[in-house]
Amino acid sequence: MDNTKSTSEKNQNSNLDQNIDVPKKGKFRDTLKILFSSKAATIGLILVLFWVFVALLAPYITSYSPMEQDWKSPNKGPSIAHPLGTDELGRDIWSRLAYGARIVLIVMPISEKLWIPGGTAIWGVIAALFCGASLGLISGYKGGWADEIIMRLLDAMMSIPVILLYLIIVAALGSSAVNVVIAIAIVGTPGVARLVRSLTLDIRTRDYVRAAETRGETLLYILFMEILPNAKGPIIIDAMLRVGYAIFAMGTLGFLGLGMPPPSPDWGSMVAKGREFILIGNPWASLWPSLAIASLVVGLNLLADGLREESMRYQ
Amino acid sequence: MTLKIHPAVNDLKNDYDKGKMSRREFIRFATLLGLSATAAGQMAGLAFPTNASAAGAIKRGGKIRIAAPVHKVTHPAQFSWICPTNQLRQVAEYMSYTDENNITHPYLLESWEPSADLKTWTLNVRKGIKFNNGDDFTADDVIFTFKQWLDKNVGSSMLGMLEGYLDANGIEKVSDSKVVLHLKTAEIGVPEHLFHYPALVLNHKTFEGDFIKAPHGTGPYILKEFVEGERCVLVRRNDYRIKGADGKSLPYLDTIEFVDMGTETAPMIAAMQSGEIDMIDQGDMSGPEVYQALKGNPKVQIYPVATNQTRVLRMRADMKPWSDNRVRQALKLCQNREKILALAYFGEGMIGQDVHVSPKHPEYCPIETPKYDPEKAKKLLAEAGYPNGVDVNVAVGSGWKEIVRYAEILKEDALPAGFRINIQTMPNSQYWEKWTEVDLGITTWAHRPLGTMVLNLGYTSDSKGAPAPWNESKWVDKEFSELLTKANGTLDVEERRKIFCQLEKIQQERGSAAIAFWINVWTIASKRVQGVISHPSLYLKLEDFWVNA
Amino acid sequence: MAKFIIRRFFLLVLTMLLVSIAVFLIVESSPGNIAKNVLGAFITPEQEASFLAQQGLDKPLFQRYWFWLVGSDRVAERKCGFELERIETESGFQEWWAKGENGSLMRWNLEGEDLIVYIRKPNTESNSNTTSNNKDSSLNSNSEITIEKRKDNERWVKANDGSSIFWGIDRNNHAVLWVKGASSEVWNFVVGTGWIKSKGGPQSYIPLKKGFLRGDFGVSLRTGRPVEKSLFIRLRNSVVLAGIAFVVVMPIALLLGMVAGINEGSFQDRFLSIAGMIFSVIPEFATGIFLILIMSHWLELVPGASVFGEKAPWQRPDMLILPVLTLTLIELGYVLRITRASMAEVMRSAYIRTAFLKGLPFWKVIFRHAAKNALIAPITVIMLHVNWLMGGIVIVEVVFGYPGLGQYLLDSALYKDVNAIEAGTMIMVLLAVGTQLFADVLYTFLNPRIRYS
Repeated sequence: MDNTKSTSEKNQNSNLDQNIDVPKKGKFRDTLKILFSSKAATIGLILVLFWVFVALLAPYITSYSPMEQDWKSPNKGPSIAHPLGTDELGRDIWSRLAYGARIVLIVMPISEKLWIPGGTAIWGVIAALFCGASLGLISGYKGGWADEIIMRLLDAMMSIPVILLYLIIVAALGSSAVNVVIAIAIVGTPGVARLVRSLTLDIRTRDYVRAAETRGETLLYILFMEILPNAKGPIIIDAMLRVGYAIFAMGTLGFLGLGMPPPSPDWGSMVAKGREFILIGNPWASLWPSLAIASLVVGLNLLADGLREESMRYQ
Repeated sequence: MTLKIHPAVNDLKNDYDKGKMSRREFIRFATLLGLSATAAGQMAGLAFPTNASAAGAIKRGGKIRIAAPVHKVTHPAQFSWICPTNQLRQVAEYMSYTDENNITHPYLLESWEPSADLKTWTLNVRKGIKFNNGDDFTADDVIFTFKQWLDKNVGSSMLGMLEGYLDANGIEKVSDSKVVLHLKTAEIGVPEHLFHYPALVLNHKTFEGDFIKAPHGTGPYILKEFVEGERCVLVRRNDYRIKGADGKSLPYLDTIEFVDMGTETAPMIAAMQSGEIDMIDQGDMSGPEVYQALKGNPKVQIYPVATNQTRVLRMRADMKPWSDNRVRQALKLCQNREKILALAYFGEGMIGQDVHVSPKHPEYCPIETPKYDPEKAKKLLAEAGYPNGVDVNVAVGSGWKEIVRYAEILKEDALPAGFRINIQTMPNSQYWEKWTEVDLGITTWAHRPLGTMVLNLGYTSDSKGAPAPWNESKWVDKEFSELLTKANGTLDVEERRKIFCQLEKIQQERGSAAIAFWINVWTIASKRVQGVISHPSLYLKLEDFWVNA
Repeated sequence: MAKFIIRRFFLLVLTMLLVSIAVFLIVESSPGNIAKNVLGAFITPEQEASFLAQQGLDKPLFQRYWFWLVGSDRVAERKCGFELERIETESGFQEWWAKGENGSLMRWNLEGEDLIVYIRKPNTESNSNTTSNNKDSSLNSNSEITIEKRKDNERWVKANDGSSIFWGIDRNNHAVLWVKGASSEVWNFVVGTGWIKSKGGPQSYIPLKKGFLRGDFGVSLRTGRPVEKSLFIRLRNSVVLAGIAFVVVMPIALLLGMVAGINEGSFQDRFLSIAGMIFSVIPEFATGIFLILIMSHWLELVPGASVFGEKAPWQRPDMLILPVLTLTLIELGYVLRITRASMAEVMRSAYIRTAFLKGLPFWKVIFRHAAKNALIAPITVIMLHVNWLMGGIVIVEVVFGYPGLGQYLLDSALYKDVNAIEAGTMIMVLLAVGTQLFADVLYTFLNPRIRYS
């Protein structure tokens, strides 16, 4: 569930507090070097890239449209025609997985016609990052009453059961990709804010921030141009993990009947839909997307872990 | 028997003898006219089957557990769900009883006698019945209950059914055991309306709007515990009037417990398998999934029954674009019916013809099934002013899995015709909040034994010409309404069917409902439960049930 | 220390207050027509207005919140001039009565233009002078109590505009302002007759409640029963489930986490963390149903559903196995990872290296030195996330039909049942923040270097 995010983020948080100096002016080549020197990160990267490529190349590597219904063969197990089997409407599960990866990672359907780049899970995380980072920066940099108020509000928000938040948010707004993003963002904001705040608390004492203050830079400049870029390492790692849990959240929303509207092939909805057929003899329809979610999240985690470990060693 | 035989019974008998009518239909209509089912059966040369379990085999005592939602209940006339009635119909009862063959018997009434023109109905109240609090059941209770239904402030769905032919002034108390209904228009369906699920008979002395606070009914069980959202426990009443096959008072079972297990089917399936529960009350959930999962199970007995239940894709005739009949027709043409039935409901049902009269309804006039024809639909759409297609939203409750599948199939198959359907899912409770308001939605419709009942409920207007409360598509057609009124008062089967041929044609050609399939339902019970009869509405008549060991 | 605890306690109260306001606002702004939810889709606008008035939902938001928080009986007492008392009847219904001049309990009803008073008294003499045709005797089947019913028209008070009014308590737990012969026509329910139209009637309602601060959660709109009646038994069930899951998960997860953390990056580390992660990111409804499929459907080892009926969960431990197993699979991964990270950190620290260099045996170093320090972080982190443990249960409860708090909350949220949502949320917040407080206190004992100033 969502607090999972915060749990793992906490965990990270405790590590990161001491290791904020992830390459300050991280050059691309250095990052790559770090990446490939860790076996875990490499495997993670491969898993993630696998799904990114599947998403990008979906039309070329599938032989059916994700919506195409073959009403003569619903609920079938793997076969030559359908390598992963078919779902309850006779749709090819592999095609749906591939196109589902698109919805998760590459494009987001605003409406039937309007699709914007950036997957639904990605947008959810970006929105959470934006809100959380803004609050965390202000809270950490300003301190005092602003900090107190923001943190108490966020604490209160964190203590509302996640399911209740989902239900109320999406039940209030109706189910669409945008509202799924909003739900993911609202639920994720407090966690991001806490992380960013703890990073800011440390960074604000640095010389370059002091220098900027003496130069008389504006608050926005200091927050977003001085502090944020220096905190980006842990934030990026946190964001990677968050993408995984956003996909998970989409499944939970689907289970509650509040996810992306059908026939969306996003993985969460596929698991939620497929669960109805597990006891009827078609476990495949929910097994495959479950494994897809698991592999992507594991990939993201390995990548994040590897990056963190290696960057620590690199210093 | 001093009962007069209604003159029309002889006409019916003629029809039957000439082969115009099936035996079952003859019995159905003859019983509606006040002939007892046994007598009708004898006239039709048929021994009426009594409950066939051998008296010796029946065991008394024991308890069964049924998984069923336990909703909040206040006024029984306000029911809009089957499940609460399955709990309370054991405590209170109906005036009539429509059995699994759609034949209606007198129940709390001794008998009924319609006049020749079907405008005056004499209801003879059965004597000697007591409520479980000791009060006598009399004509006053019948009248009180009728007035509750007709009261706008109660908001009963009975109102939509009755107000076309009855108002409160038309109810006359003749004696403590006789009530006469003076109808505004002729109506044949009165006895069957009395078994509509909100029609539980209330105790006029104690009922104050909340049945749970004063659970005084005439039924075989007493309400022992009713905890909304948790469970409902019923215990046997000792002085019940009806005797079982062993000559002693019904019911056989001592205790019945309804357990609320939520809405997810998996735990119910699992609980059936492990024998934790004995039955699943599927009255409100239409579970082909549960049937599919349990059909091979050796511990479980499945009692299937074909029904007049359906899922109606209804279009608001007073809202754009559906106000244009060509658009409505176009969408209807986009239904690939066989595919819908096969995928949405595992093929367990009958194909529908966009007519809210099922092949199982006695009045059904065979009508051609429209073909899936997106080309023609596209043309119609263009004619209606949408040459580039049209974007529409369909509202569906995500709790009804078959409805979601129906919508997904429709979305795919209607695309070539130019309908770009956006499926809007919402929790079922939210769908019920706006089921009469959305412009396009898919609604579940319960089983009703007569075609006239459905049409009167869902496709007519009130006395002022505004659509009746359950007319969710707001489709009011003058010719249709007139024909329907005529059908309500027509007894001759051939005549009646002729009218229905016209009615069906109108509904198919300009109606507001697309009906792709009629569903089968299943009573699913553990093998140890005996005496189970599957009712097409999945009504439970638990006093006949008993358990083996 | 005491100061710290007081401060934290103050924050807990503040958080609960904030959350309760937030929930009120969110529920208020979410769509859905509660009157239709309760009464069905065919209600007339008048019925809807009457329902809203009777539930007090026509009042402004802040006033509703205030009533919810501190109760409405004081306000009502001032209006009607009686002391009000809440009693519980033999059949378990809560009833509000006004305490009359001589200590008798009274409620009123308007029949036509007549004010009828119901006086509740213990049945001292057998067959006391209960008026004829007393229908209530059958309702309160309890023979200890009789309810006397008579006309009570002397209570009418002349209002400024000349009409007769009376503030009293009705039989549905409201304080009601009745107006005699008012210009508005009102529908009244009369026993045995049904609804009759009459002049005059109830003009204003205050639903009576004691308020959250005085331990009254209010009446659930969905079930029509006091929230606490349904809530506590479900809370108990959830706590049992969560407690068992906690007891099962923690030792396993801590142990495996330590094993993984001892040798960061090794095969056993990767294997444990990845396996834990895989199970924790497969949605629990899928995990749960797969478990039903395997354990209950195929192997027929354990029941796949939780049907307790009147029994308590611990009386059917076999039914707890699958829900606990599902929760274990879901939670194991996270706790494991936290422990692993903490352990790995400790293993890198100077004093552990020193200990090894000193030549202490491996297991001694692990258990004596590393474990003690490595477990502080995970234990407190876990305490911080008890609300997650509770929250994660919601879906598991639904999947197994487990009658717990989660399912109750879920139904209430779908129904817009504000009193039930508030009650459930408050309990969850209390648990979450309370355990955080506990964790912090615990932490100071485990790690004496920390001082709270």
